[in-house]
Amino acid sequence: MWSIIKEEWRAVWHDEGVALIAIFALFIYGISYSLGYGGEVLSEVPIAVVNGSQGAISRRMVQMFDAAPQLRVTNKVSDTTEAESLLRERKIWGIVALSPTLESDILAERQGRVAILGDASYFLAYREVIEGAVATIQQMNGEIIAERKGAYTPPIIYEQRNLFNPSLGYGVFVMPAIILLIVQQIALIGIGMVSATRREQGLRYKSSSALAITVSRTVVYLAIYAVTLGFMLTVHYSLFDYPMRGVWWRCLMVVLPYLLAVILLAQMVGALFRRRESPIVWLLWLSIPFLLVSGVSLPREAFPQWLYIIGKVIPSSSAVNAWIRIQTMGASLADIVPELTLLWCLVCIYGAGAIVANRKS
Amino acid sequence: MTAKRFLAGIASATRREIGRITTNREYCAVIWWLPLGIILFFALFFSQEVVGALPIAIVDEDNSSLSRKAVSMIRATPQTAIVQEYADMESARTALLRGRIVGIIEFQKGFAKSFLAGRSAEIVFYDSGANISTNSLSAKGVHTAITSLGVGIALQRAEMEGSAPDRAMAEVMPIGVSTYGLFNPWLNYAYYVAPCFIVMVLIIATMLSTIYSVGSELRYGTSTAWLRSGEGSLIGAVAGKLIPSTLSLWLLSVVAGILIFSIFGAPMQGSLGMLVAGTIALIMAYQAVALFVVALTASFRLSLSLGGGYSVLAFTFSGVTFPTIAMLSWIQPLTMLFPYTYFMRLYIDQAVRGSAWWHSMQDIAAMLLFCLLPLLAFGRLKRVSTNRKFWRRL
Repeated sequence: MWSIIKEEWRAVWHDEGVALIAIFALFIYGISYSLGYGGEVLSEVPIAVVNGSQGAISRRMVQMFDAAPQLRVTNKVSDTTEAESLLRERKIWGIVALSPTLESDILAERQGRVAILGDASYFLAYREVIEGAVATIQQMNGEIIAERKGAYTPPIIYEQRNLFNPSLGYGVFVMPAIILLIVQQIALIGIGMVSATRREQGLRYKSSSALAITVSRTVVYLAIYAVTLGFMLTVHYSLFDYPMRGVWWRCLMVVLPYLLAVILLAQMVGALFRRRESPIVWLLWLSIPFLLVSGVSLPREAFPQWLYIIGKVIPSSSAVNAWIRIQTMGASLADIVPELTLLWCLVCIYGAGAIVANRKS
Repeated sequence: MTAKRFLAGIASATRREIGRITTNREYCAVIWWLPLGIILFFALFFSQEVVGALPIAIVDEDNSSLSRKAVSMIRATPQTAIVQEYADMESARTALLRGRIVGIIEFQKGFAKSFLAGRSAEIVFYDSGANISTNSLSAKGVHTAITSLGVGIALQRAEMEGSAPDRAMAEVMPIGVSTYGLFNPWLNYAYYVAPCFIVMVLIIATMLSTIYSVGSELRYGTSTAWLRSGEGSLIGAVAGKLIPSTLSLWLLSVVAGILIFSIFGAPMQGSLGMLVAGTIALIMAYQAVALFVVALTASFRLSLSLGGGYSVLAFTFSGVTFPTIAMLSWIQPLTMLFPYTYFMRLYIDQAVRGSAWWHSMQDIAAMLLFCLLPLLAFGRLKRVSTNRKFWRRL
């Protein structure tokens, strides 16, 4: 077994093609994606205010829109057409249109009207504009009522608390899943490449036991990913301030069966390839589908239930859900029993598959 | 060299390439079956027309008629479904951690009492926040329900205090708001999200198939035969080689278009001509990058790794889901390095926003700029294709 371990170890480190994919790609992709989402939250979205009425109230409103954390009033225009062309040029992402009679309506205690037009072709910006503008108008309403009646008590106050991602950071939301998905992707392609290269070159392991081969190969990759993924989930996580509410050994209880399932699946799938470059060609497509079927990016209520269920055969589907609950939300092991059970089942199934696959190597 | 010989070179390179495609299962898969399969996956994935109600739970410690009224109003919103009522926050929190619900609405004890005493009654919606897309959907439903409850109560009060119904509204809400979603009034996420993914399939197919067609010649040492088929012209050999895959990529983009516009029913508000031109420019841009990468690395495997990575990363750096203006300021210019970014702007401008056709000229021009890349590497492509030193690299 020791000789197989040494052989596999060399196959990974002495082959720049494999090393690039199976090892270094995790850092390259992980850091790239984290930087891409590094802004985390959208704030101070540029908007235009269409203000037909001139007066103290509308001036005060423009000030308040500008002061809202979500918004920044970059343009004050006199008609909607002008605002719309700014929007088409991507200079602004929303329009707040004050009715021309706003000032006089409010002074006469009639209802004044304000229209908020968000750019729904960019959803995150749309949400920010609508939320910011609606909240500002509610605040303004409070001020007007207080001025008229001396005091303002809204009958109902609504508050939303986002427990595990208070500022709704985008990286905090997607990166935990993406990091795990990258590992799966690079393991499938990288390990597949080792298998295919050996087949192409007619190399055989110096052992007749498929079990010994499988165990040895698994040990090698487990050791590599324990270090590289370990780095991503600790150092990289801290650098980018991703939530770490999990207890370390609970985290380990998710990562261990996940890595095992992925490494064994990769050995199984690797048997399908006869040429070194084939795993990239066949597997590169799958990263987005794998992310989608896990239900952690778009809600699982948004796509057919049967796809979600079939998607469970992919190790990442259970693992990212379990991981987010353990590490982002601080859940206990009892909360992820179904995911852990399934992961260990996959370890067994893919383990058997890997042994069969390694028999011919 | 005569024009006739040049054209003959293109034709024979094309014939040779068609032979290569039809006899190589893997090449066939890259160019055709894999992208079609993934597009089929997206067709199924986005086949559900509406987003199902998101499961939330109620913790009603007050159990008053007011809290029950609030619950029934939340129940009526389509975005969320109350799947469970828990007696205490602790058990609701467990359900949240187990992934059974996405949020909890809490009515604390004394909710109705503070309301009756003329103070504000507070409703708290606890959302995990770990999933931004479920968060915005569920929060929207709950927020709408509670706001209308609050307004309803305030109106009742005002009328009881003697305001005429038409004045009462102005008293409760001195400023009334209407919100509009510009360009996508349906707020249909599939119209917007599905094309982003489907275009990704097209660029991965372009990148991989182009690298495949040239890279495999180097890898298997057949590049002199390829150049010979071009009748001595490298440009002819490259053009002839790319004709079959280009045609099949165009066909693939037609399939993608049928799926997006006919099957999903996404709107097409602007110039279809510009969208077609943009698609051709997009395919050309990625072909150009692919040629550049192959020539530069002279390695099939390394160019697949680099080209593949470059095409996959485009999604994040395009600003389609996480907008460019939210990115770190020094990251923002990087979005310009991906043709996909320009194409998605064009797509949104033409298909979704219905902007004037000339709005997208800039984006097409930017994509065409990428086509200059291979010109820088043509000399090298010739060298690596004719020099055995660069062949059979693993």
